[in-house]
Amino acid sequence: MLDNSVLPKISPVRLSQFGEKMNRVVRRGMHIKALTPFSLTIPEPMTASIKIGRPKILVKSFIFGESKTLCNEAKIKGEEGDKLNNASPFNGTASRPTHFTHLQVPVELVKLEDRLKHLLQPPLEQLFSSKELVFPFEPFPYQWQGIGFLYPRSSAILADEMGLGKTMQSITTIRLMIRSGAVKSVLLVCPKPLVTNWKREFDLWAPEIPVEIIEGDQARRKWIWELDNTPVKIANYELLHRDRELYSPREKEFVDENGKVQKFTPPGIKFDLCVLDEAQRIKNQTGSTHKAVKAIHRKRSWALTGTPIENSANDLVSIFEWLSPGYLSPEMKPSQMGRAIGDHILRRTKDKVLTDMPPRLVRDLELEMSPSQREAYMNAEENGVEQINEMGETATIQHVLQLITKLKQICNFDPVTGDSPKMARLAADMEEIAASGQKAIVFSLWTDTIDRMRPMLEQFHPLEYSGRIPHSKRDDVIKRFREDPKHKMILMTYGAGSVGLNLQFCNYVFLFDRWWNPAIEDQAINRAHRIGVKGSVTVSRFLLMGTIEERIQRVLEEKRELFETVLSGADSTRKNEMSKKEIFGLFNFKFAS
Amino acid sequence: MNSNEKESLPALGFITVVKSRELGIMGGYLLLNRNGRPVEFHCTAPVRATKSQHILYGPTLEPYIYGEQIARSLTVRATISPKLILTDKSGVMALRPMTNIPMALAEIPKLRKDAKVKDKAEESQNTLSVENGVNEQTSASGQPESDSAALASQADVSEEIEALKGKIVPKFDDSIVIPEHSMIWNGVLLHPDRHFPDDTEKARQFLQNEEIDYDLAEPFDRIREAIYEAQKSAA
Repeated sequence: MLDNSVLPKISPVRLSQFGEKMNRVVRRGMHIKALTPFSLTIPEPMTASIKIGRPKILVKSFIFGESKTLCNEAKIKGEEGDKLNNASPFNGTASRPTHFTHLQVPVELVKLEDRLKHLLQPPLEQLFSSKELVFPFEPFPYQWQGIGFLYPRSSAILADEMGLGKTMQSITTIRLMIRSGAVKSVLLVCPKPLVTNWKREFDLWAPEIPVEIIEGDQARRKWIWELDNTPVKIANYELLHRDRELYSPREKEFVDENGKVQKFTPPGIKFDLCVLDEAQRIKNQTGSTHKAVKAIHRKRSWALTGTPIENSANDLVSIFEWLSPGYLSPEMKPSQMGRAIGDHILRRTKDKVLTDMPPRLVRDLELEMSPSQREAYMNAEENGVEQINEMGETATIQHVLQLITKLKQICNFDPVTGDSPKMARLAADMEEIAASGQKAIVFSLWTDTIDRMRPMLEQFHPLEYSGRIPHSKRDDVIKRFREDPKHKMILMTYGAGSVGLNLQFCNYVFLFDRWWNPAIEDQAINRAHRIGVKGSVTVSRFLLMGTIEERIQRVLEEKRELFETVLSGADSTRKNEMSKKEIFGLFNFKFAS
Repeated sequence: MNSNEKESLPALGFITVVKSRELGIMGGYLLLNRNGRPVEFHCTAPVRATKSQHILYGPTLEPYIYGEQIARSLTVRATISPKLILTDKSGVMALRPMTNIPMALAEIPKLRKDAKVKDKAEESQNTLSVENGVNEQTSASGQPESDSAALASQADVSEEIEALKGKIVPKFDDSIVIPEHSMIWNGVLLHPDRHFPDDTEKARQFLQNEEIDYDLAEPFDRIREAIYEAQKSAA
């Protein structure tokens, strides 16, 4: 229905007059008369306004300045550097890096500004591609990751499997930190035989960083300890015991002018960073080595070890006592410990990161004893067990270990005839290895065993690398083995040869007898199976059936499982440490241990 | 602070925005020195467009929020004025008319598998796509599409970038054609705004004189990480 009130009112129009001609019409105008009045005004329309408004933008700002960033400017040197320096950024064929690694910010860093300062640093690969630093080889992506892990951490364990380049990663990180001014004084502590190796690696990976080995007589060592223009000093563990007063003097007493006895502690030498190589050396918290390294004044602490757990989870607790006292406790469950250490430890294995590295082929050579050897073995075991039985409750682990040692030696060589199934097999294998132009490493626990092996292997011109070879001659032994083709094999003891050596030109490793600890065996094997190895590495583990060696093998497998449990953070109800009971359990003693 | 009043340093600015369904849009501005090291970082709190803004701005909402609001607020807060600002979001380029600093849109070129451009005859095809950064096809002219359809198509770009993060970036192929007014630096294509034709030369001179040899696409990853870190700490 129409509402008449809103419609304009149109009135009927009456024309009063029309002219006859058009010109008259125009002149005269039309006369219109409205019967009722109407309006032409249109009422104002209703409007609605919507405010669009501007969004309120809150900005948070962080100003960093220039100090303590990753690296200072420097151009790459040498022939390779010239090549790179001349590379034009305009070149359309330039390729972008395929991977970027940034610093891995530690969880313990809480302040946002500090976290962003690390997070916003350029990727590490840029240091290589932008020619700012000389690198002999381009690091692998996992090595950049290791550098990115170490750099921002004040307490860290780099626990890569042997052969993945822990040395290179730590040296490169130290180099970056020194160049950026993040650290000025670094102390590296390693086993004595590895000191020269570390110096060589520093020369290779950080040629511009001055490095001094702490050695010589006491006056010279004191002078080196106190040198303040040498950013990196290398000390060995043994030396720390002797030099404790030089780097961390104990509290002293003196009589003041009033005749009173006063105490004071000399300041000692302070380091911005202390790095422990083969940090499993400090696993005994009551040992002198642990005490000596704890006395080092330092702001940051890094531990390098491929075997943070050698025997039990307590080994890891000890390392953390040095890194961050009280952080771990022996009471923690393996899974709990695994979670706690997550941000402080980085461990990679070759099978995970070096997928194109030739494989490690492990074969257990299960051999039978000769009849006379078996007789000697059985007699020794029966007599040994009987003696320990007679001791009853007074028998100690030491007695059991002595018996084990004796039995293992019989497994190596028949004490009566000198026969050895292991030796026969080794000699046969060596003929094939030598004929193919390859070289082998043989590991044993004892120098006595090496002495007995040598005459039977004379044709392969074996070299020896053991504790009785003076340190000054060890580098020469390795050089001869590497360079002289007539030396087809090297006989090593685990103690001397299982760490720090690069023997990747060997494709064969023999474990003539077995160490208690699988981690030590892994270290030994990784002398050959490491970066740079060409072709697969065959590891032969001798095992005499029905003997203590077979029983120890079972223990080793259990220890391997423990290692995996803690470092993977997985839960486990297994016992972690080989207890006294388990060691006694290797034999059927009549008394309860 | 007006950019004219700020200290002008041979720094390079990088602006990107991150979109989060839960939080909204967040912007980050990273200023790097000639060696690629951070000098300043600014980030915004999350911003949400209102419903009315969505309706009324339509396809121009993104340049409005990204460029006129977020990027502008970020550059105003910076204490130094860089010589060049790069972004990986075309919406941020809306800042350009509001600043006197040259700007360019950075993209990582990658040849499409089915379109290898070797000669001019094939230039008429769309040839470039972006692996990381602005996720848009370039047109026959080589300039990134700036019309509303193209902008609307990249609504959730940052989420796609998240999915791409960590993936291997392809090697740059020499068969890629560099569009007019654009340039390439260290394998990254830079597209200045066509309405500011001098920007190409200014950008080239700056990069050349300062010997900028780091990757110009990588800093956007750093900004994204930093924005997430800032949001994490704010939560």
